[in-house]
Amino acid sequence: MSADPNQKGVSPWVDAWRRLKKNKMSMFGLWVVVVMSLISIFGPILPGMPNPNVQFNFVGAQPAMSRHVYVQNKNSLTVDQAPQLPPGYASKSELEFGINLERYREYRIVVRRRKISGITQTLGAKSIDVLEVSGKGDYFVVENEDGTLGEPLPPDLTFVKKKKLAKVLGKKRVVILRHVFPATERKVTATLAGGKVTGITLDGEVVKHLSFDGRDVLRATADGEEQTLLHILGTDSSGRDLMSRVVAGGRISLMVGLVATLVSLLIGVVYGAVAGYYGGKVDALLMAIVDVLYGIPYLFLVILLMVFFSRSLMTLFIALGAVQWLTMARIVRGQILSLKEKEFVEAARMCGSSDFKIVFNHLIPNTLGVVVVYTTLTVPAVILQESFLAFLGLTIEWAPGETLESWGALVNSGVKELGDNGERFHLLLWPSFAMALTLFSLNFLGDGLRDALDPKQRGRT
Amino acid sequence: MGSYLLKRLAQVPVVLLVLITTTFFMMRLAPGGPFAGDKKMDPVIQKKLEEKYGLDKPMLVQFGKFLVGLPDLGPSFKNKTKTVNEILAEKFPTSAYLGFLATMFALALGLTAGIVAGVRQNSGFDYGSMAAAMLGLSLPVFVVGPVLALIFGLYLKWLPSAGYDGWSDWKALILPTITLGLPFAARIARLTRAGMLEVINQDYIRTAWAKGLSEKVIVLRHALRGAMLPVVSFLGPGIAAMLTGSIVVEKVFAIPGLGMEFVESAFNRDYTLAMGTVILYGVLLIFFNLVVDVLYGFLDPRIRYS
Amino acid sequence: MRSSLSVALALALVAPTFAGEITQNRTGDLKENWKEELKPEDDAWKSVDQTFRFNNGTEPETLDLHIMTGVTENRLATALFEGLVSQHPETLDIVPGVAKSWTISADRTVYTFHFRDDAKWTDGKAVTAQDFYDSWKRALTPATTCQYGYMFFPIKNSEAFYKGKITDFNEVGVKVKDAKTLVVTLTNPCPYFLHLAAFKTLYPVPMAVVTKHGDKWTRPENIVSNGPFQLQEWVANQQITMVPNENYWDRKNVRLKKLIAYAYTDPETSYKLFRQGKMDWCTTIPTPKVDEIKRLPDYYAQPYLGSYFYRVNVEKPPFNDVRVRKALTMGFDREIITRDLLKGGQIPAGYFSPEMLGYKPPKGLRYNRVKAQKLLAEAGYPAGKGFPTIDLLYNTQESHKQVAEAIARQWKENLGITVSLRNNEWKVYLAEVDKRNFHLARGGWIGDYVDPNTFLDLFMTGGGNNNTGWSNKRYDDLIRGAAKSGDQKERFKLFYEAEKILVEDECPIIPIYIYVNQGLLSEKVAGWYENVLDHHTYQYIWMEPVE
Repeated sequence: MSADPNQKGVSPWVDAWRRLKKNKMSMFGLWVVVVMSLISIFGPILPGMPNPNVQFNFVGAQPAMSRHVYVQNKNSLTVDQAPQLPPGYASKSELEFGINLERYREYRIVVRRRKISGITQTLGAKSIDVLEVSGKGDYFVVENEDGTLGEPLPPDLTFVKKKKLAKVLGKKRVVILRHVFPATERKVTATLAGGKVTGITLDGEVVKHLSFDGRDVLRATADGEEQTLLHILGTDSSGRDLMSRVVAGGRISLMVGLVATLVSLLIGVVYGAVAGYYGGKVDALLMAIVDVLYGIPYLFLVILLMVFFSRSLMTLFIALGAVQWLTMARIVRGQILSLKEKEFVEAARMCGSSDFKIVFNHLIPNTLGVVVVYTTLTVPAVILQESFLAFLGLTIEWAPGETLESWGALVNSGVKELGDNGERFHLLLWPSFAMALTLFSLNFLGDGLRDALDPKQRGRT
Repeated sequence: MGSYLLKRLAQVPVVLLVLITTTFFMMRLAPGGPFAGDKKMDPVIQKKLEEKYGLDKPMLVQFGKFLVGLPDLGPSFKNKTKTVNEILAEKFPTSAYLGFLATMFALALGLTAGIVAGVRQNSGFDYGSMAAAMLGLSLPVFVVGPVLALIFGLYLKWLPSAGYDGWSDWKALILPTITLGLPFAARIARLTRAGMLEVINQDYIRTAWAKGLSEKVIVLRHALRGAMLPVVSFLGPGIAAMLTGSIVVEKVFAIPGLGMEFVESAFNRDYTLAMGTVILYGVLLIFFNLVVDVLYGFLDPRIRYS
Repeated sequence: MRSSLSVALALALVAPTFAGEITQNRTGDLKENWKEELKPEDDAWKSVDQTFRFNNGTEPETLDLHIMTGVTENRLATALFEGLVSQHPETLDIVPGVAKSWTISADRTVYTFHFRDDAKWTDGKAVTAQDFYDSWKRALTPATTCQYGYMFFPIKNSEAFYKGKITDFNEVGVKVKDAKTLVVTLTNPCPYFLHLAAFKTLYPVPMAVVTKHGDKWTRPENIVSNGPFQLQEWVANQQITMVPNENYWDRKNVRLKKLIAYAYTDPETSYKLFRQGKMDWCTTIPTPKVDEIKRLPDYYAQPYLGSYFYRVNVEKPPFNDVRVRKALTMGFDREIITRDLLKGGQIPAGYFSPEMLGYKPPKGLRYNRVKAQKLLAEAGYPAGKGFPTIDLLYNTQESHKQVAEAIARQWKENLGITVSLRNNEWKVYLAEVDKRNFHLARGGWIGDYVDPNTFLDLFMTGGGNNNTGWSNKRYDDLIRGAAKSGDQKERFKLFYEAEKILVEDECPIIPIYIYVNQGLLSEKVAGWYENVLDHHTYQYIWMEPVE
């Protein structure tokens, strides 16, 4: 019986790919990984992508889809100089700002055992014995967590330490008062030409220089358009855009995962190949070493390494890679052992190929399937380990000047910031979601690849 | 079997030696000593302190002294009144108890889910549980823990969210056990399912079916043994993973165990205590790997190392 | 003969009093009956379990008074031991401790302490002047490795003995006159000496026990102490349990029946336990949650004698140029840090030593963007061009990270310079600071006693905690002058001038803010007062029922 010449032989790769395609979860995983990788690589350089390092301290942590006036922490305008404003303003010609220079003092009154036990002025935690609601300005009770103010308090109210709380405040145990000094809204206009300020007015009067805090700006318009900034996923406690941080974090996490895995790959594949190919005493020795090293709680040594030596990216890669290579070595060795009895190896030897060539040109490529599978499964493991290190406080020193964090570090911060009633939940949700989704997908992809490359299923499409 | 066991036992001191040596020298070589404090010390004082703890002698001498002194692990550098052995003895039972509970939980949950998923392949339960298992592997422990603590502890107030008062305080161990055991359970579930699937298609199972045995009997008596193999082989690294996971859980739930002790001692450069915990963990790991290998041999008659 | 001798002797003893010696049993404006105000008004407290639980923040290194260094150990020392004098829980005025009264010589260099008769150790033995003599000798002996030896330095020859220059302790200005009288001689008048005497290093240790048990003397089964409480149980890394000392001279006024100090390092954990009712006092709070916690009635914020600053390595270019240092100090707005980031009421400060006892520090250099830019340009880096990348070192903690990030960001926006943030965990950080392996390094300093000297003597030439490489003779002279003077007004003037050099002229440090101590105190607790050292004496605390 001769083979039908019309029937095309199918390479094991195509075979495997076909099987993979059928596995819906794995394909889903593959797509997600591809998309995530693309976002991570190209995301940060997309035009219009916010800078993950710019802080809007006066904004604080805000949930998804929040907007705020587009100004900096500190802004200033000086005639004949470029404006100290966020990028984008310099190219405009007419600016207008509404500034509320309201000033206030905050007090905290605590009631213990039905009597006022303390009146503290927040700034400097200054303790005072008597607080009188009088004089300039109004006193308001700060109602909720988000700082809304209630009705102004009646004048002639006095709070005295060790006395009872004023009736109008009822049974409260903590009262936070804000003493607001009256201030009217002021209007600032500025004209620009060639990127420099040419004229400034404050409430109609001409001035040469003006500076104001971001928190005082009520609105800003440039050439008639309102300038606001939208944060799609919200901001963190320093006012940094969360989405760009998550995207940047992905870059780091995926890179760490990939490089550390590659390190373990390199060591493991070569080690396992040598052990498997030479067999006998060499194999016994090499595998004995692996067994010995297996018994060490590796992660402890990683921690020790990170704690004691530099926390550079290099150390991380080596440390994490060193943990994973043992498994890789074992698997590759197993593969090589079974492969080396096959005919093509015999053939290569007869052709006079050196050992080196046989191992590297013939055997290792044939183990690629298994290697690929375990790579896909090692990457998520490494990313999880890196997040564990972040939890312990062993974060990476990225590049000088900017602190970018991996998903693990972002998640860690998110957990720390989580409020008792779920406040700032978004800081935990989005990085965790990104991380879980990616790891989830990598695992599924790895599983699918493993099933697809399973020799038992070869030929069974 | 016997010679295999001997071979493995022979490895134990080698592993330990490698472990001890690596840790010892790594710590000594690291910057920062155990006595650096906030307010700078007078150099005379510094010298006296070092003399007291033998840190002024050359490293090899220190190492030799340490080896000779085993199993006494010396005084703790940070906690100046207790010895390392005492601290380990105090903390270890709690960690062991937690680890034990978590393992039981993981086995119970994982095996059940894996068996059912395997038997009912491609059912809703199968997909659902495997997806859940995957999720359990994709979220770090320090996320699951605090979130659970938040929901069940502070919000619903069903369970304490932190603290541990002693053996009788079983309520406080519920959340930590779940948090610690979940990733383990997830792996076990997947492995059990895979093992189950392998075994179910074997001829001897088909024979059992033909004989008319009930599903329960087939699953529990015949299939389980074979399905357990991958689980058993995973127990070794699994327990290792739990040891490291316990660090997180103990920190998050304020359980006074050995995990956090290790990290603190590394940060404090408490050489002796860090060595002590590493050695203890190493011994545990070796022990468990050995047990697992023996167990594996029992379960799979095909693998009787000669 | 004898009678005239005795008369002469009597006159000799009495005469110094006439000549201007002061006998005291308290300082400050404390009334004679100050203790009455610290008692419960009625008996309601007797119906409540008198157990006080607090989180001490970390496992104490030791209970040996001469080895301990941290705030954690301090809290325990206050409960277990007592010194010559003690402090009023609210005002921190000096009140009698083991000594029921003391006499100060006219030139204010000789202090004579008169012990009370009923001061006893937990083993029933009386506390004698010899106990103090032996303890202080042990503290100052180099082999003991007592890091706080410098607290003794106002005492004559103590520094020389501590540094090993003299070996006979008899030359040190401490003498045992009799079992109940201790005479201390200082080199110069020191207005805050009594505050030093109230510090834990000057408390007595039971020398017999120390000699007998060596390192193990502080174990619960061995320890002997003389304070209001005694050690009952010590579970490592978990808790320390203390019960009242039955032999304490003021036992009848100690109302607590149990005192437990927990060793949780994570403020989040102690906060959780507090919410569950398992903790009565949290000494710190998780800072990210400050907004929620402020709404709890149990939250308190009190001024704290501590300063947060960055050290500048003045030997590493570009910081050898004072203009660069000034530019950085003026180049960021501290209010953004304290108001928007920390939100605890911390005081943004351009000065280093906090205000205290009438001392008003100089204002320092305020935020001034234009001036900062000008200075930087003058130094050769217009708009930050050509400025090397410098590093800012801090120890790993979320709040330090946030502060560093915010400041670095401001410098980038205002001055155009790049700062690389480097964080190391505690021990490595300390080693790096010690080696001066940094451009900028975060620093925090808590005062040991209420006097500007505890802050300003840090930056004297070669000071062990200087770590900036800065040296200024005028500064040294001013600080030394203040140490010699006994006149508070004059001292404060000298300190002011010195601090001006530090924070306005030379700027080897960049001050950032003055600490505010934040914590949680359960409503059940009475007799606990806020003070600037966060020093609390437990014998005045009791638990009251909550309505």
